[in-house]
Amino acid sequence: MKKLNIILLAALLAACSGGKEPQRVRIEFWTLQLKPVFTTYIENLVAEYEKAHPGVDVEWVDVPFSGIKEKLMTAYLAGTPPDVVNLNVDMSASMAGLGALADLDKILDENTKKDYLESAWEAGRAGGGVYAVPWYLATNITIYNKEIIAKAGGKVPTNYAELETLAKAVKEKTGKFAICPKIGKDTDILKYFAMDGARVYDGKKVDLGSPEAAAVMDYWKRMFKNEYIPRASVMEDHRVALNMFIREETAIFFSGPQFLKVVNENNPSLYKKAGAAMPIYGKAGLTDIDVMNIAVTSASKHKEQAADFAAFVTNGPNQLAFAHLVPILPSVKSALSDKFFSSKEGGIEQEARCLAARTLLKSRVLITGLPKVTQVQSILQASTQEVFMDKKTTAEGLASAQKEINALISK
Amino acid sequence: MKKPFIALCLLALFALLVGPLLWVLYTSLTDFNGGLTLANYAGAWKDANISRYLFNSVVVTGLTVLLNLALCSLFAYPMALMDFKGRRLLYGLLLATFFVPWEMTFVPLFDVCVKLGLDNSLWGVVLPSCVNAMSIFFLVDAFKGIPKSLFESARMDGLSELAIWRKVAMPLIRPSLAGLAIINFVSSWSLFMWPLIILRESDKYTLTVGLSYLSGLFSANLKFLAAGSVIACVPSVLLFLALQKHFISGLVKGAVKG
Repeated sequence: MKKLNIILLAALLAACSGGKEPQRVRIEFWTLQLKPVFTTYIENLVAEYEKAHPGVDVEWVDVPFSGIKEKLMTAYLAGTPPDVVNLNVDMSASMAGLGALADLDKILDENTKKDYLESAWEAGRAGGGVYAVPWYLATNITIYNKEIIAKAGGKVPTNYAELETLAKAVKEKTGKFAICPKIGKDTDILKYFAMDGARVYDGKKVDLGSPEAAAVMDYWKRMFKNEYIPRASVMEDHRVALNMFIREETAIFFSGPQFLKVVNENNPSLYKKAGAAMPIYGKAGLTDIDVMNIAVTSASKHKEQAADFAAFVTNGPNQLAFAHLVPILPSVKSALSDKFFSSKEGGIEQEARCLAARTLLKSRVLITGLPKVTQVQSILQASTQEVFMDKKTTAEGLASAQKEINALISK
Repeated sequence: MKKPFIALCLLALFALLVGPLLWVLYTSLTDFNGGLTLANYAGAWKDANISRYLFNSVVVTGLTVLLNLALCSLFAYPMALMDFKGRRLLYGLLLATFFVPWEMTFVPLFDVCVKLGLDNSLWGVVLPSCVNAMSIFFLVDAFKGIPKSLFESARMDGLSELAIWRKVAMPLIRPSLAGLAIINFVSSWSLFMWPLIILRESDKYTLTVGLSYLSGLFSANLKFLAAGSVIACVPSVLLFLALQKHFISGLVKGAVKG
């Protein structure tokens, strides 16, 4: 009993003396699956920030990609979201749509904002504000298997007509496929529309009635009917396309330079005969970028500090250091102007990095702020399949998809 | 005449069920040139902190199974064998939870766990899953299968209900307990979303969650991933083999009782 009293007394004293210290600011920072490879990098960032801001504690939590939506949503609904969270454009748009994110356009100062590439900064725009700052970027370039292209007697395509010619040659000479495009899963078909100049989403409504959209749909339908692309391309995701390329079943893989590393890990002999080229631009001369971003939650008790930390993680020096660890592209001009992104010295990964950096000039996040992406995806996938299987004409398929999507997102 | 046809169907079903598993096993055991190797296991073990995750999974699953059997049987015993006011209502309410998908309770559950200070702890993974309607339903059935006269004589011998539960009822339903242990083991072992939601530090992750670290955003060695998945399967298979006899007799017991 005596012992218990002493413990209680000690606890009471501790509680009292705790109250006198200046209030410490605690920031919880979630990243997307960066452990274990980037543990040291992130831990150093956090330590450096805490050193420069003595009253601030940053708690880093790394979340596996496959569960981020559920984990974030649960924490948000329970009223305990993190302060700073690393998301992708689709996720930040849907969280912003719920009012869960803070408008960083209002919090950050002009100098900080100015350094972000405009196209990447705009990717965080949803409704009236900017709800995430861009972190690292990936843009697709063309990665190809020199052997298959040589066997088919073709050349690396620079436009979609050439891709069709190559696909025919690859099919006839090698029995393989030129490419496994990702037109069924995700909203990639919308990006193809936009690359050719269709204005797909204006912030309120989706428009699939343009001649560009119909032409793109017809193009891929023709590729599908001629069996120039695998059946998997209408239902499978990026991973399947990657696996086919790794197993040398396809000649071309549209992807970021970072996937060269995956190719090397899984098929070192393919890595040796892989080449990198500029991506195929659409008729509008544009290609898409993927943006990983960092958002501050509106429920954060320390929004200013959290936004400051987000700006710190994404500043020039820190992004440049990150880009040295993995072939991604930074989203700030001060890092991109480094000679690291123009030097030709080095292997295929360096070559791919320079190509991708050059591509950034012509890259936009083609679709921004589209809400309810998961449901939109399944509508698009169903209607694409109906068109490809001749259950609907291109016009009917696009019209019904447009109607369904607009009904969904206006709810 | 029909036999070959049935055999063929069974073979196809077998291929459908076991094929993917064999494929994973094959992938995990071969190198890029198709040669046999254990290097993927060593690589996976080293790359993701598998020993740590394995330990966490063993702790979580062990506690879940033990608590589940103890607590659910304590609840099931009066439901099956005692008569008191409100018993039917209580049992009905309990069974109603059968129809609520567990995922729907994540938000309130998370809220409760945070308020109890259970977030980011293994107890936060264990406690929400250690009592469930399925186990109680199963055990009520098992208790009802015991001849009533046994309880009557135990009561006449002056045993308390708790003592009857422990000394008479529990030993008699051992096969059912073994079956239930396996079912709970497998479901707890393969839990993914809840541990991911409630845990923050990756040192506390269970194996299923930790395995996701084998495929990073920038790298994915599919062979390591296959090896990790095989490692994750082994404990369930071993437990099943060890308790197989009980498992099958336990299930049959539940099935025959009218």
